Amino acid sequence: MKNPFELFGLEPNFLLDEQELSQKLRNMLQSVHPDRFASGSDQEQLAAMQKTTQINDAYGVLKSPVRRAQALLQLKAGLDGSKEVTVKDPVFLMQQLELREELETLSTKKDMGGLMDFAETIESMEDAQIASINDLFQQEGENQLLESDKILTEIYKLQFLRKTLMDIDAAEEKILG
Amino acid sequence: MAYSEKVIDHYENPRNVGSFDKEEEGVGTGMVGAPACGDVMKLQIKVSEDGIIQDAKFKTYGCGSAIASSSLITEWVKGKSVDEAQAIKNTDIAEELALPPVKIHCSVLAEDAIKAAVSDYKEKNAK
Repeated sequence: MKNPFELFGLEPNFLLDEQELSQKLRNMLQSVHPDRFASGSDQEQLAAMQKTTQINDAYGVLKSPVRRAQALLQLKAGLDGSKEVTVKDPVFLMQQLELREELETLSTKKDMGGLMDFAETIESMEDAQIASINDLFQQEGENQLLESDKILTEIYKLQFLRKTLMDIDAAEEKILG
Repeated sequence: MAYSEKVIDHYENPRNVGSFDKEEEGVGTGMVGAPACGDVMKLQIKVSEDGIIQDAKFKTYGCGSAIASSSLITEWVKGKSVDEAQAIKNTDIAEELALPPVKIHCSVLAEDAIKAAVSDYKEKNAK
């Protein structure tokens, strides 16, 4: 089966144009739309349905920076970054713990404005993290070797920030009811 | 997913939530995290001069099973020597809490946390 990048006709790069990606998604989904196969055989209809699932799954991987980076590592270094592991970087984890404590305080106070500001802070941390992952992927070629373990560590950090953003969303929804 | 009664009990009435000053004499701090679910766990022990764990505290941001696993382990380590604490197996935690297979990693995290706390304590006291 084609990898998500191949399926979408994209070079295996971490950086991608989100508009181009959603444009491609629309075109590809149109080409396998059930209406096109309404008069087709059961087999054709089934194939179109399976293709639709494949396209949506691949899109899910490509549009998420975490999953896209994991897919690239798998592709380039054969590394499975989705395994359940324990990270032990005390400085980074202490910072994450403090961020969760801050979120807890804002959430208890039902401070909607504070939560929105907090989300902005985490989002800019997330952007910086995505940029440093991109830098590591770009280094391949210059130094020949991909620093895959280092990239894996940076993806882990991105996952913790993602989780905090999800928790902020949940806290906001809870306040709004 | 249905949580076991023991998980719910620890989740609703977590034991030993809190912190020690990590610079304090005899305190060991373990920080661990699970990127796949974003859980963060801090586990601290306060050790007497003869190497017995007098008290333990934790702070965990994560699912019910992660909170229950860390709560349970803080209860277990009190009165144990640091070496005994380091020998606690995640499978014992998982069994006690009747964790389903998808939540086994929460008990691994608690085991890694106590190990990290003990090595931090040993490192501080080796100097």
